[in-house]
Amino acid sequence: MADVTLAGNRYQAAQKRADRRRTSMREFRMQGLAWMLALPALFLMGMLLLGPLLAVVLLSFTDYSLGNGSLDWRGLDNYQAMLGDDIFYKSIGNTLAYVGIVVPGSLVLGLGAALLIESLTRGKAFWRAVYFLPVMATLIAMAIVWEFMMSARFGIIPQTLALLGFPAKNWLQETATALPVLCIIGIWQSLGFNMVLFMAGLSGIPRSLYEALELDGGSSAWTRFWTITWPMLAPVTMFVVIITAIRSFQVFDTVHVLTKGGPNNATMVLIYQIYQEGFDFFRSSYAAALTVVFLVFIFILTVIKARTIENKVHYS
Amino acid sequence: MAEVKIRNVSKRFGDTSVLENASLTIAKGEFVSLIGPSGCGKSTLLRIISGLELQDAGQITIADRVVDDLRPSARNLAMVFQSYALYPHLNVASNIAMPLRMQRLNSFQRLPVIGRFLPGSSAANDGIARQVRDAAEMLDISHLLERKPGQLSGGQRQRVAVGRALVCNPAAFLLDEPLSNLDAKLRVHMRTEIAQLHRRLQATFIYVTHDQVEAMTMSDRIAVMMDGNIIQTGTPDEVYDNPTDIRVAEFIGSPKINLIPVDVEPGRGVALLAGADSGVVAEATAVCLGVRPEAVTISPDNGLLAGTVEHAENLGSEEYVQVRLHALPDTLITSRASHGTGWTRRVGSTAHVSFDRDRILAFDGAGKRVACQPGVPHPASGKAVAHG
Repeated sequence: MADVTLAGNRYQAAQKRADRRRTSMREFRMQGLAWMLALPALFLMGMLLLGPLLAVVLLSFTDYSLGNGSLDWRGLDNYQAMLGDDIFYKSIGNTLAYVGIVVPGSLVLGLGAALLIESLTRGKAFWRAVYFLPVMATLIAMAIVWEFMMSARFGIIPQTLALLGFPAKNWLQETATALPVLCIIGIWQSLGFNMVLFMAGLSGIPRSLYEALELDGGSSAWTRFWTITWPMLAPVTMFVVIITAIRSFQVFDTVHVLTKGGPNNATMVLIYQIYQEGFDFFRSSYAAALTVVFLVFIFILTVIKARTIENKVHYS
Repeated sequence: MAEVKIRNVSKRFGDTSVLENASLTIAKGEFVSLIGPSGCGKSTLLRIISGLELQDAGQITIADRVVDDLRPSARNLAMVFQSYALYPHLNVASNIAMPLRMQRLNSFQRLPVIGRFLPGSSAANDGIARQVRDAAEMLDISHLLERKPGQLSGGQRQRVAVGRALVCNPAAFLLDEPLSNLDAKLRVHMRTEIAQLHRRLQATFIYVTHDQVEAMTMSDRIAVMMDGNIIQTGTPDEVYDNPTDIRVAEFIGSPKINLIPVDVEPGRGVALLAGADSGVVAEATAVCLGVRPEAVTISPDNGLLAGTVEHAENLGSEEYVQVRLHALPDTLITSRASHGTGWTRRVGSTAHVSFDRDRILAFDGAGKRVACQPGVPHPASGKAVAHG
């Protein structure tokens, strides 16, 4: 009996030692496994996101141009050139103007469309689809349609305006009106998306809040909107502003198809300038420097989004 | 403080009739509960009183004024919603102030920032702030005035909702299941608070609930609703002791009333339970006797009917004992036995049940209450009971 116990004790001690060894081994193996499993994702992230980003930043410090066999380190030369580049100022100004018009425009109209469609008793789905159509359509194809519509000779818009006494011309080819027309197309394009976001937001407002307000004495549509709808939509509104701003910063398709940045650089925007420098003039390093500036803008917007959406505008 | 009259109100939603000819008068300062199972139309009736829903037929009168054409805000009522419906973006003080701001400030004075500087608004705002403070003090939420509803517990939100209701001194308070989102302990506590509030304000309260304990404990009168009709109105005691309908008897009271099939002996009118004389005389149309659990006596050795103890629950203060009758195997009798009788240890054993004859109720085939009274010698006691 005693022998059995002793043997048992010894067996247990050995077992414990083995256990300890096994635990550390297991931990090591687990960590190794974790890294192994994360590796493909890390690799792809490095290759597709961080690598190119780093390459662009590095490229902006060189004199590389597309097709050259060699490149030299030039420090901040490209950035210095940028400061003296009128077209750069023009494109920054145009881009900011575009964002400044398209964001509030598509926000107000998107919210208006959402409120109107929500108030309908019939045909909600139809109108939702109508407004959402431009979002689903390819902008390049739609831009061609707009080109026809703006054509001075047979486009529906100049012809209609001509009936009202305006000169029949292609407003996209006028220095003063080209950018505003692009803004209108931009609003037309993002309105549907914002409308859908607002509709989702509206459906999340509990009906009982409106009923409580009704009993509290606020029965006009105006009071209802400012007391409940607008504050309750604040998180959605913030999201819409940021998303639309980021998308507007990236405006390219319509410029490329309709104006090519003209006339007189009146519609030159940041991304189109990057495209021109990189692929028309083959000044890849200068295009890279412009890209870095563009990325800084996007980064600022992203930070604002992360800060405000996650902290400020939620109520519970 | 006002009288609220509901006259022949009907309401249909599509093909379903939710309310049929409901009539009820709620006196000045009275606390009336509308109680019934879900879907009985009690919330719809409350919403019709408030004006959030319009009736198809009938009339609502508040303080002798017909309000059918008035908007909810013009009816001078306050409502506490089941979800509380607090404005989540406003702090507690602004939530409570909302009805006063709507009443006393015009839409320009309500504008943020600029509104403050418009003529008359600062005096009005001071008055509002004072009333909000008073209401908050009364409900013991003064320390929460700066918080948002999202930072409050369920009970605190409840109080804010009550505060928003009482600050505008309404003609009547409408409460739509205000306690159903609270946990059991808090519910008991808030029950007391609401009852005390009613006593203090002396205001008219209309309280919708599906919880019979809430209705019994707080109300001056209870209106029991079933299938769109108010089937009985009375004080809690009346509704409990003298239900006019078997549905009321079943709905009110926990544990549920015992219902036992009965045969009435032709001629003498003696109610026979499985052939045994129950000791009561009932009308010939009676098909069923109802006995509250506390009117059932249970004894190990003698009684009217024998059965087997199937289950016993010890609640500490009392015991609920369930006995399956030998002669009526479909009938389970629940008895409320006093503390320490030890029935929980005797599950499976034989028990005898007898009934307090003064408290037996009889119902006919349609569920209506019919006459029934003690009158003949009880076979178990052998004593003759004289009865007119």
